[in-house]
Amino acid sequence: MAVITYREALNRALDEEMARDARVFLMGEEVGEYDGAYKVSKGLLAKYGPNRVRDTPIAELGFTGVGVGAAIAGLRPVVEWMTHNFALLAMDQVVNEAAKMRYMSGGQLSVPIVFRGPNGPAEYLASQHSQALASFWSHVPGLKVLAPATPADAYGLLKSAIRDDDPVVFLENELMYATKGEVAEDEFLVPIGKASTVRPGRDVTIVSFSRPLLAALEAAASLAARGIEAEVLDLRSLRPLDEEALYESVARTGRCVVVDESWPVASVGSHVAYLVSRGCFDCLDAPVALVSGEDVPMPYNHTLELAAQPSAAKIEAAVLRALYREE
Amino acid sequence: MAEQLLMMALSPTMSEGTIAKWKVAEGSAFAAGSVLCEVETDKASMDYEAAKDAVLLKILLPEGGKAAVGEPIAVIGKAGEDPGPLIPAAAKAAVPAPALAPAPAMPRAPSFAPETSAPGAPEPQRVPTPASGAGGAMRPSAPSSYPPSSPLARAVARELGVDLRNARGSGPGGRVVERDVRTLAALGPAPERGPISPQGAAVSAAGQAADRRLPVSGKRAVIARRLSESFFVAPHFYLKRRADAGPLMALRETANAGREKPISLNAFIVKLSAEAIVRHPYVNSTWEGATILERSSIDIGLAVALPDGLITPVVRDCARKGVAAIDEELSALIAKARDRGLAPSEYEGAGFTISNLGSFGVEEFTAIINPPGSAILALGAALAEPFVRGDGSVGTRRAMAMTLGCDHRVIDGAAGARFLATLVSLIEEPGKALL
Repeated sequence: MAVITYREALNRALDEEMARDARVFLMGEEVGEYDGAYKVSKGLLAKYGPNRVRDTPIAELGFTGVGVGAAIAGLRPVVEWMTHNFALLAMDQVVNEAAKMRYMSGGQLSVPIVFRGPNGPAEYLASQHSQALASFWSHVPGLKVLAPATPADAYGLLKSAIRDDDPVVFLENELMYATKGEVAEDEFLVPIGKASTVRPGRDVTIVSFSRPLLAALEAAASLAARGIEAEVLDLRSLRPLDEEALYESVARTGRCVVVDESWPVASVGSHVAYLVSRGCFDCLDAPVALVSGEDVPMPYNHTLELAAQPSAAKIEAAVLRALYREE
Repeated sequence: MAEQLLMMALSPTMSEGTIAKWKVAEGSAFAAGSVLCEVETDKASMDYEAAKDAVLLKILLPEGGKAAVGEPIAVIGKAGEDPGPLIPAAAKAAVPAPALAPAPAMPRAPSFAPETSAPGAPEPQRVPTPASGAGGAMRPSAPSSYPPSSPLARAVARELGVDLRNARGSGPGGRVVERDVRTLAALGPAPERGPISPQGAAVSAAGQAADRRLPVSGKRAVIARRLSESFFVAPHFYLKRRADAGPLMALRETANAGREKPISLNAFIVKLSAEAIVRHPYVNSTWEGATILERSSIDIGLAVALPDGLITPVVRDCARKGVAAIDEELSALIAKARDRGLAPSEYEGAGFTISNLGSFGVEEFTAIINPPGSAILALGAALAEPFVRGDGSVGTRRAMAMTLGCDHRVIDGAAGARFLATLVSLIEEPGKALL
């Protein structure tokens, strides 16, 4: 078992899939000569050449559309967005073309494409570059949406995404690229649509995904010190979503705290809270809680920036409220 | 806009309250901060203060009426507004017989009272009750005899055959949660809830006195719940010793010589217990599950009997106070308790409790631990008895039986015994407390 970074895990997945299937190619801003804005594609241009690792102009709608067309024509593109903030410009190609093509062609066309890049706030990037947009993509039928929180899941899910015959939006995170974790040296896939219990517990279920999962684990460790055993569930896959895992866990614990760094209105987190309220109604001893990003554009001031995001302290407080042990 | 005024929790343990007196008349305006009514809570009478300026449009709960926390007790709003739509059907039904009820101050708008609907007629639409205050939480529209409850609590209640109407909610707004149902189930089957005879002690046709079924007061319910929880949850054990009370009696006599108001024996016992706790601080602690809280301040409660149940006023920080100061505080607190005027801060949080039934002639007894404390001292009467001295000769002394009840989760047998030995030696030689 090797300990590698989230960045290295993504690079290994890309490398293995490009070696495995000649139809797989990567394109995006600075993915080639510069080895990637966040060095995820490091070494791939040298290894696979400019036909399979293509630098594009700064024109998200254009190169995303090229990717969709290439996928329809039979290739397996991986389109890197420098961040999901910039992908807003490409939304029409994703929502109106990639997501609809199989349905509107009566199954004649498929769009095996992966759109990937960092999502969510990093630091000191202000409102326009600090958005968590998982909810935007998860809203759309026809898309699959993945948000791994560990290097092993980043590796296994990216490989599954590239092999999938439908468009997959892949959410990474700038502040997680350097996080480390164990990744088996033998090749493996992580199935799309399966949540993972990253910490077992009996008193409350904390549901999260992507970077806030790390805060949830921190909160769970702190709660354990006061005798509260929180189960932490990593959704990993936001669409399709592993409802069975949710219901199975909350049926045992009777309490649920959902953590999502997106804005709270109409978010993945609020949808999960709805599912739990509906699917576990008779098992709930407290209302389902949602710890979300605050309902404001991200402040530039760093103190406010941190205060606007979910934190271990906020999660811990929400758990105590759900347990009627508020202090 | 008119809104309902809800019964609110005036103490941390209050789940329902009884209106002792309305201080504002229907139709009168009041200012924020003024007292709207006096509410008899589980332990004391408290003032219900207005949160804002408004007019009392309609009293829904008359004096003597009881409401759970979160239930409407009045309608408030602007002068001239119609309270009708905000008067719940259940509250109307609960208004006492017409002879007792004040004449309605304003005409009532037609409402949704189900009893007026003809059989087979479509169910009248329930008017949603606007939640008062900024919280905006929706109030459940269940019959008012059912407290709000979590879905899990309802499922567990069904499974265990528990009647939720008997449950006291410990959640926000009096919500019954799972632990409340399990606590209730542990108490065993509750008596069937029948209608309470309006005449009180009814007399049967044969002229013999019939059984009476008395409503449980809020205070009685809290006593029942807290002591059941303590007795069933904390593993109790008891240690017994007899102490020669002679030297302490003599000291008290000396100390009281020339004092206008004599210092009570209880004040001495409180002080000596505090001194024993200083030497054995683990006694002054609370089991918290993952941790044990050892208290820095020695706060000692003294059980005081009142006609409708007991209450335990607490003297704070007894280690730093002299016997006279403790006695002064005790008598002030006891006087307040008798007037039902103790504030929660004056009866909550004792780390150690003393119960003295000596004045009732009880020789010795055991007591149930008073949470959050982990030990309770039960004192019997100081009675003359023969005893064998160290040299084998026989004499007499005034001995006091002391029974220490301990929570075994926190205090082991030997630890409790060491504390009790220290306390006995301090009572037998009070001068040691100075060392």
